[in-house]
Amino acid sequence: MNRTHFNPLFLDPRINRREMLRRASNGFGALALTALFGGSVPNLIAGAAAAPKRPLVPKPPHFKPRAKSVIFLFMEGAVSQVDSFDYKPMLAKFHGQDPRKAIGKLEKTQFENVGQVLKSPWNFKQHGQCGTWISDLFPHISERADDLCVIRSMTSNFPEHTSANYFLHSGSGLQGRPSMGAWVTYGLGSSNDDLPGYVVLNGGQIPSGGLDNFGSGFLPATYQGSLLHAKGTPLANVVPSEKTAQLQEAKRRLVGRLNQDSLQDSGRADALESAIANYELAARMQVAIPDLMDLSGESEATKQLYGLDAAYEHTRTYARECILARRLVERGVRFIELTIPMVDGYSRWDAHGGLKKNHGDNARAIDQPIAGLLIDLKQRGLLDETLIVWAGEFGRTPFAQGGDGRDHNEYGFSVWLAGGGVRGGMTYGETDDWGYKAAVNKLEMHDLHATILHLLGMDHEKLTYRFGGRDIRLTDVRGDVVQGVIA
Amino acid sequence: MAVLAIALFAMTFSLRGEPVASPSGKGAAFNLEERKQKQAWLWEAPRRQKIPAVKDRRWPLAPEDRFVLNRLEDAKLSPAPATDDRTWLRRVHFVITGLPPGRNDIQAFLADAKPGARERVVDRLLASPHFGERWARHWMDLMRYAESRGHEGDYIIANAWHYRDYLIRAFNEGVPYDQFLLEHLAGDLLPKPRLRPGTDINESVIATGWPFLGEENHSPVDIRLDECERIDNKVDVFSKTFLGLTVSCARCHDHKFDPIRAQDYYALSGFMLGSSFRQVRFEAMENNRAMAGELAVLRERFVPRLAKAVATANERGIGQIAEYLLAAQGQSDVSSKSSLDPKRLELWSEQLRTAATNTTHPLHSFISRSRGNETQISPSKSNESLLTSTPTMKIIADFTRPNQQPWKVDGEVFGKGPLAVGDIILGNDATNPIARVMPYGAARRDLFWSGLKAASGNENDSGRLGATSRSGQMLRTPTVMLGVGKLHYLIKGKTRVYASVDSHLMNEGPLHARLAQSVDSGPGAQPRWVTHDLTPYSGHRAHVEFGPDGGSELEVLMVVESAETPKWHAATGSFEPDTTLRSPANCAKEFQRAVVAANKQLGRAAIAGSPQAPQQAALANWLLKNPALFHDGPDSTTMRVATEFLAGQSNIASRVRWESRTAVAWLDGTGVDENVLVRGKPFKPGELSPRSLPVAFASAKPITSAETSGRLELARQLVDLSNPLVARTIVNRVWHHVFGRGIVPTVDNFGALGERPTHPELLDHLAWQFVHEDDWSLKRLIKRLVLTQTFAMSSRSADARSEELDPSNALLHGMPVRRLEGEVIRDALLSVSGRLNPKVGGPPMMVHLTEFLVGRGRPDHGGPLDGDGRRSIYTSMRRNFLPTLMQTFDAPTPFSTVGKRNVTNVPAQSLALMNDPLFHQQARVWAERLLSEMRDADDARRVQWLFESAYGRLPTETETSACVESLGELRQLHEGKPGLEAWADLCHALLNANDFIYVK
Repeated sequence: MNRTHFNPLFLDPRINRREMLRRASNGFGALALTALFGGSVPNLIAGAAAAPKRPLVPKPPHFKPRAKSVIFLFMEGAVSQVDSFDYKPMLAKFHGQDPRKAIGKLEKTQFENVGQVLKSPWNFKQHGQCGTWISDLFPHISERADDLCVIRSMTSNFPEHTSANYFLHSGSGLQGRPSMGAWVTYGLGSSNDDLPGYVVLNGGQIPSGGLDNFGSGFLPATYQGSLLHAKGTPLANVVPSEKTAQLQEAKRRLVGRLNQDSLQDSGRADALESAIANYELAARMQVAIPDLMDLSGESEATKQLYGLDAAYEHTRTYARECILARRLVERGVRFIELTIPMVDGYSRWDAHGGLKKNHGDNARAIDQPIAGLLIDLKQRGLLDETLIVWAGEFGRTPFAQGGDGRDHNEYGFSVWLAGGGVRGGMTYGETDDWGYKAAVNKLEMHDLHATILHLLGMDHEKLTYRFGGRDIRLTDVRGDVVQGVIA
Repeated sequence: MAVLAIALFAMTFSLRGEPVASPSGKGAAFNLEERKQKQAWLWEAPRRQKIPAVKDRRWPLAPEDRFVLNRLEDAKLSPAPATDDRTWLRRVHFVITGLPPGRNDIQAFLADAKPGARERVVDRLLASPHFGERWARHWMDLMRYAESRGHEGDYIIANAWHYRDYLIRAFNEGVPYDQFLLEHLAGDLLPKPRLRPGTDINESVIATGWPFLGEENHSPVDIRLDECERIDNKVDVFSKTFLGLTVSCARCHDHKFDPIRAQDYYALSGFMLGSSFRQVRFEAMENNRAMAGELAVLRERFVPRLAKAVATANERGIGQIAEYLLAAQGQSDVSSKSSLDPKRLELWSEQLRTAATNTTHPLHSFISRSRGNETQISPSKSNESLLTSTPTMKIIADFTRPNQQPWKVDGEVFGKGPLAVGDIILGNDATNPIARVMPYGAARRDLFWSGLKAASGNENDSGRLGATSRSGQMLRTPTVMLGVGKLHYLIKGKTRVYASVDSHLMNEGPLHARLAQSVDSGPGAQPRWVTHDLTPYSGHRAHVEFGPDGGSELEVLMVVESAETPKWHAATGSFEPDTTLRSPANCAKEFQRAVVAANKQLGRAAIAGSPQAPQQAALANWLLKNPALFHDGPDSTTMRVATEFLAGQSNIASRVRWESRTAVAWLDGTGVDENVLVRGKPFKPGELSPRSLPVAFASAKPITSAETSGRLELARQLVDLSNPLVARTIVNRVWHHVFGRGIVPTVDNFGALGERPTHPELLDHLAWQFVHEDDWSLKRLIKRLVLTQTFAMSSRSADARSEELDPSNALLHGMPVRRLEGEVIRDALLSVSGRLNPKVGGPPMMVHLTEFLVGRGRPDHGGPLDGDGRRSIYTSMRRNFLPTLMQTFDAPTPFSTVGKRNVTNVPAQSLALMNDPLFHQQARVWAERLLSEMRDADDARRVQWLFESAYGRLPTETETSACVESLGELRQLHEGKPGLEAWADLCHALLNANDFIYVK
């Protein structure tokens, strides 16, 4: 018996149309649901009634979703919570003192170069109706406080970038596991026929651990994040190589004829048919991608809202990414991830020294564009169905590394959610008095993942894929949906 | 503090933890037999199968066909009709070599009308060097082969590609699978390693590089957790690849369904923990081992002769010692003085002056006592070396005495074991051929080998291990659990030390820099303690590696762990006069007698083993250092024998292979048994789990040796004929590659969570035949399979019913249509265009860097777009910079064993076909070739030529006319320009068609 369930059709070239239709005869919906709920019908295919021509065909969720798409604003390198969203007056009070005396026993850090307790160089104020404390590191985002659900009790299991990046993305600290964008697209498909379902907009910074952060792991390659460069050529091979469109068309016609002839000659033809469909989709992508990237139709007001005219080069880059993210949402793409620009070489948010400059510059790049994105989505009525996730792989220590840096801290840090079914204007969880360790409502990465899937209408325990003899989940064997953040 | 002789210490291998409750203790009891019963077929060794009867006797060509047909007939299905010769030829070419048949191959095959034409094709393909390339690539998927370590810096795995070439050679040479497996697990330990034919290059050892082809973190915060992840990966690769089992889910708990306990996982971990990493001098090691043997024989022959000659020469003046001593002290009368040589007398006076202040001088006590200065006398009168014991002290290695711990070295530089007190060291000076008599026991670097070098182009290890070449020149201690963590090395000379804590080797970050040290005992003549502070690693496993530092001498006496610096007193070399003899004359005579005795022992090369060895060694060394006290110069006998010896030594040196390339390999260490880690947590050690195959295997026996990792025994247990999985797993993998789907479709998991075999009897028939009739020969197995009628079926089913009733083709009612793998597509592209460079093996061709291959650790330079025409297996495999085209076509990310690749069908693949510059470039190369080879042919004939090259078949009439028509259109679009442009576009279109990337 073939035990692979929820096995996408296009993976298995041996299934023919008749068989597919026979199996789908009791109705596509019923079948797909059986698959989703873990039925082990042999060769059961989600979305079986749809021809293999549309591998990303939308699939019904487990229950009514609150969000249709996700924009993941990945803050690589780790933003300091005590300088942004987690106000700790104690740091000012004990500034310059020995943290081992003030705080007590310290956990090992990456560099083990523990300095003094370090107060934030930024001022905190309460913002919005909700009065959430946010520092003036983010003047624009803090104006959107009533849209934000700030989680202050996030934790990670890894204190190093690569493992923690993999963990944040895939629920595992190891390379080669599917990224959450891949899981989401695998679970729900995508509503755009001309674009991939999981798009990564690259601002310049490829995270530690490389492209595998966006990988599909053991899931089929369809679901892997397609990297679109915000600047320059957006995607490999998407620009037609022929001098004229007519040349490519002429060739495509010939390829089409040859493929059709060859199809006549084959018995089990579905793989070949599917390849023919892909060839056509690829041709469409050559149009869809340039159309996506072309911002000439955006109004000046919109461009300014995002900061596309900003003085700072990196603000312009991130503004472009944010506008593209909105355009992808409008086009029905399921999961969009943004990487940060190359603000400070390869340093990212990783302020082991020179906190003020590092965080200042990074914030300058992303602050206005993100606020612009929130406003723009809201104006267009898209924020309700778009889940925004702002997160780094861990936080930073409340005490200094050396003089003016902060080391890695996975024991408690802040992330925020907005839109798509999330309660705005609230905070969830707390760290201790120092902003060092999660103290109230501590969250694990798997909880965040479970919650994201839940908002998309999926039960994280039922979104599984059989690999190496096990039904594997994004949330491993853990994860609880955080009901408290859901509107 | 008690003073104890070292010999009283017993070596202890401290291992972590007291027994705690077994993690499997809770809930339903783990019943091994019950679980095996549930999969009874799997846990019994394959037996010889009866070939089933079939109704259609004419269809089967081979026994395997009858198994397939039998199932089809039971299901009332008909096998697909036979495919045509051209399709069969294309299919068999791709299966065996991964390259399409050339037009000549096709013509030759079609022209061969004699019976056995297909078999001749198969034999030719199996003999082709490209066979090894194709099947090595399959194996590399299992070994998660890569040439860098991923993570942040993507540091290279130096010289990893030798493993890839090893695979290619092994498949091409037809190394039997049981031998291949033995080499993978214990290629470094085989009593007779397999040599590369016609050379003395060690092949077997290269197979042991696979454990180190995984990811490594350059600066793990939790070094032990990091080790657990690395070991987990090795166990995962091992168990999936060789056993077809997923043992690694037993890391946290007993397997949920299979008869695999958590203990079994940790029992396998022990094998990995008991061995360490090295760059092995595989090209030179066998030759140099032989040279070391010759050198040992030569020395054994010459030591007695030279010792005798030197001692005899000394005898010339040795009888006058007392006279000179007294005269030098001014004790003798003038008359006797006159018979003494004044120059020599002056030397004696100098000796006494030195001896007065130098406590280690043999005459120190003599002169002190003669002066009545009792306090100057050395306090130790023992003639044994002494180590002062302290409560925290643990001896990790003691080389001052033989056989105190297993002797673990890489290469010949430290010889076959530690040297003993009194052992004679020959030098390179013909006038003074004995360089030294060992005054203590020690592991000694033999400077004969100091000219060893890495061959040019050989890569240096990444990180701190790369700071020096330790290859073939390394001594290591047993693995121990660190206690207080302060290590003290008693050494003389200079060395580069690496303390391998938790087997961490990719040492580059800020955290673990202290593990690598340069250590120097300083200018003194005596060994000295140097301290290596590893206190942060208390409670971690470690062993210590000593490598050379430049051309310096190095003697390692002891490695001790202790909170305080240990005190060690060398055996006294000083002559101790009897306290009852007060007269200087008597003292002098007694000294003379002692020297005469030592010289006699030296002459008999018999100081080692004598109870007075340390004292005699000291006197002998004094004699050897000061020949002028006894005679005026070397005698002719000594010179003659020494010259003869040195000539012999030079002769050997001329045959030493000084340069060698190196490959990643295991170095065997000492036995380590891992504890069960409760719920997989590194710091929750439970009960000890002695090394063993999982107990579900009948051949599993605990491996208890403390002297070795035990891998050789493990390997032998694995290939034991009772093993039910080894042969089944490999024949199933081959079946998977030949027919596109395994008999057990989950090729890496035969366990309860894998899929059941579609043809269990066939699987056992193949496994039994493979072992008992085909001597584990993969080539014979492949040949059998591709010559079956099953393989010769068309991919078009006999009737619609077959597809109706067997939709997933589980019963093999026809051959599946298959998409080629990424590597094969690229290779076919190069082959068709004529650009393929058939060179086999060698360093990787750097991946062609595009704007899409970016990130930390990006290589300095990329390779050319066409990779110099080399096959895809030779493209560099940098984990963070994997070749895009291969990734697009589902080449697996190298993180763990992938026996069955995804076969996706995505638009990115079409985009690559349409717009990847390589396809355009090669289309043009192909078109140029067409126009030069088919200069005078018309369009239709040229189209025929193209079809035959690309698809192995001729075009139909419709296809020809479609192409000719399209060509006209393309010519117009190129504004009537003649020739190349339009043809290049036509070629490109043909490369984009499904027939190019699919095999029917």
